[in-house]
Amino acid sequence: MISRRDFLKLSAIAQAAIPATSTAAAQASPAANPGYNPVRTLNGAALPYTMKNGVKEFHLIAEPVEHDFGPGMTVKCWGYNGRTPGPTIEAVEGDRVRLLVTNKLPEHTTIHWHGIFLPCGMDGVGGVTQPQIPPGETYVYEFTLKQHGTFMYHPHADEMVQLAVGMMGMFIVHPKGGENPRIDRDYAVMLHEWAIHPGTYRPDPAIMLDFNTFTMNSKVFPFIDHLVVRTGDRIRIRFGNLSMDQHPMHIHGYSFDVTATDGGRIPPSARWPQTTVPVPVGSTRDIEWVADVPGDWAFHCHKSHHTMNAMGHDVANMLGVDQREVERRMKNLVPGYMAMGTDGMAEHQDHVDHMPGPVNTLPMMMGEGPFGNIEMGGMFTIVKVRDDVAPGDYTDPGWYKHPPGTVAYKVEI
Amino acid sequence: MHQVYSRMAVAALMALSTAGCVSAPPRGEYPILESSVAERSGFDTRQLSEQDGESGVNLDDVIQTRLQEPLTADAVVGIALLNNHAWRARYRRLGIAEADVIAAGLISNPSLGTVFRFPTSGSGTNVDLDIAQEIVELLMRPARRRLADDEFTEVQLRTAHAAMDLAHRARTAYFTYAAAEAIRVERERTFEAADIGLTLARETEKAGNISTLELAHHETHLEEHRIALTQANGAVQVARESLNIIMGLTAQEPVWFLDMRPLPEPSYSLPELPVLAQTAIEQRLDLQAAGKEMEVVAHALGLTRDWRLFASVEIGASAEREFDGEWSVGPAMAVEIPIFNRKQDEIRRLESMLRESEENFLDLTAEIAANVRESYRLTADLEQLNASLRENLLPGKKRIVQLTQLEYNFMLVDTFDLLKAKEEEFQARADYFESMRDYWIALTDLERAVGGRLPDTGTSDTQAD
Repeated sequence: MISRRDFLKLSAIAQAAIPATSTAAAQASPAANPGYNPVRTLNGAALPYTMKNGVKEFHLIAEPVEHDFGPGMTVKCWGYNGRTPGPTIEAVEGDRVRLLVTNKLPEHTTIHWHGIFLPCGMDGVGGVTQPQIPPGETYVYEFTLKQHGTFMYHPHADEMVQLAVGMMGMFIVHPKGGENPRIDRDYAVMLHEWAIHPGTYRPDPAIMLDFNTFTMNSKVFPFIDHLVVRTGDRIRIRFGNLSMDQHPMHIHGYSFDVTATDGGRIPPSARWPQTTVPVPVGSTRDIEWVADVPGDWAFHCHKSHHTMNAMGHDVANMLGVDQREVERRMKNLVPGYMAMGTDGMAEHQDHVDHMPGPVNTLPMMMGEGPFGNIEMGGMFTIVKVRDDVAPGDYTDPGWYKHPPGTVAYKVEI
Repeated sequence: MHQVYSRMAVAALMALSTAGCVSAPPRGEYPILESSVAERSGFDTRQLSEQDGESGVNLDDVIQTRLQEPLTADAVVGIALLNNHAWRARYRRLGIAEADVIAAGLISNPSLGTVFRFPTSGSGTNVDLDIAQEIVELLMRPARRRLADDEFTEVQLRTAHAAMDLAHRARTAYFTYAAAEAIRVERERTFEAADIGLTLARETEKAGNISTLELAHHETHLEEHRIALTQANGAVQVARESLNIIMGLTAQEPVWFLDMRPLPEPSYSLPELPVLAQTAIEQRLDLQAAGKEMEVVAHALGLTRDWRLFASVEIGASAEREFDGEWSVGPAMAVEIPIFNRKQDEIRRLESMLRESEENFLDLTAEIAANVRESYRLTADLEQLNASLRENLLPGKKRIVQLTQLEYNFMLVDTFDLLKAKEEEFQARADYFESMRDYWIALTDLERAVGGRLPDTGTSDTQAD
């Protein structure tokens, strides 16, 4: 048990060691980290560590963060080390880890290590297992990792608010001795929901049901990184979900096995094959499959509202309504008015460039593909499987060049 | 004896001869009326007399020509002063007052009496010839003329005040009408917005997307706006007819229209209250008339007191022809002896009237001071309010429409939300026009309170155009 004096000494060292700015750490490349194939955090980064007498020492700084959900939408969030979600913590089963947590928030905080077996006093539940970390102070969590799998970290003080404004991150523990079978591409995706009212710059923590912004690693389509995969790679995607809703995550063109939860690996005979994995609230799920067919494969939450950016939920239903007379008369009243919705909402994407919206708000439907408008937002991205991707190369290869005769085509009947 | 009587006779005859040149005031010339109104408003009351056919200008033609131009508040006042029939009737009363001036200069005609007597027995004819002339009137005549001039001045002052009152009523009616028109336009726009909403609701219900219950809400919403529109139309009609009466228009359906900007932004900066109070004391015609009335009554009281013992004196001549043909001739005189009647009743009446005039004067002074304070404060408050409405309310509602449209573009709100924002914009505009009307009427009331022109504070014209 660490004494109070030692604890304070460590705090002093930790204070001295606080980085001057919270900049993004580079993605670690496999060569630099023997022992495991590092996880790729879409749009994100890993948390660096220093070895101190055999202990992996990490430093998290809980602080306000100005975060872009996409260009033109900058939001005042809270996160870690300049990011939301916070940088991904990676270690190996058996490692002793020491996590310094500096609080630069305007209120107190803690960190709970979701799914991790540890001494009760390190569990991070404010009021129950520790006093909350006051603003300006640094606390230390230290424990030995007794498991491997996909876990998360998040506050357990004023949890509703701090989660609502973006404080969370992935905590990956690799098995000792490597994976069998080998995982070629290992991705970490934190799912989340936000209520950012149109024309505002801050999430609304009071919202319980009416979220309007749905993210993977705090980004919306078309600004979520694509998953770049070499044909034949075994790919794993680790999902975390600290939002208020379950998200059914769906892959096109493949089926996968659900291989783990935040409780541990699922024995192979017990694994469910699915094309859609429901990721419950407060859980993680690992899925794995071999990506043996090239192409641009859509990968998204299957709740159709979750693949839209902000939309109005109370608007009158204009589907099938003849608006011609109304449009003619409205143009006199409101110059630039256009009727919308009679034949559905698809044409909306084409109009947003000449019909501006509120400040700091992304249009509901975005994205352009090689064949036209993609009309998506929120939790949508693409798994790009290519024959000619080098191992370890994650650069976006552009759009898939379909072999002749393999694209749906028009016919006259 | 002969000589004394001759001299008296000559003096009387000379007085008579001058009295014969009765200098009645020239018909239709009211210099006090004209100068008072012109100084205080720039308007000419004199034009009225030109229309009496002497200059050959036809009043109807003049009015019709003016009605073809867009009317400003000043134009309406000008037409009213030419053509308002109640005012023209009041003006005619000046002629009656003129008659009182003439009457003050008249003296009684001499009386000639003759008697023929025939003897019941005998011959011959006895003839009496008497001529007599009342001379107290003659002696009092200059004093009575002065008093009559004073009274005539008072009548002109009161008439001038009535002219300023007409101008005030004309302006007030003008602004009322202008605002009613502007508000009516906003109610029409609001009705159109509600009707568009109803049209959309009907199409939406036809498509099966809303219930008949929800449609019923839209239908009844429109009827509420119909009530407001009808009321606005009514207010316009009432205001227009008010102006038709003020301008004295007798056509079946008078045709005229307003200037483009009948309710402009204020451009007059108010002086301090003491300046306005002083201007009121100097300019108010009814106050001057009330002061003149006190003078006139005091003057009449003095005159009555001074001459109370000189009731009536007649001088003349008498001639008689005797039966025998002998004529005798000589002067005659009759004097009323003031034993019982020394004008006690007239003096008492005039004393009481003087007290009454004094109280009326004080009452008017209090009223004027209150008028000035009230309209000054109201004008100042409304000017501030309107500046705020112009800077904050109107642009704010416009901005709400624009920002709502941005949300509409992204399908975050719907057409009904946009229509609601427009309805609120129209309501704000109507509220603004009401407030602008109230300002211009308050300023007009202030003009009336100070009795005419507002003091020059170096800013542009206080008149509404």
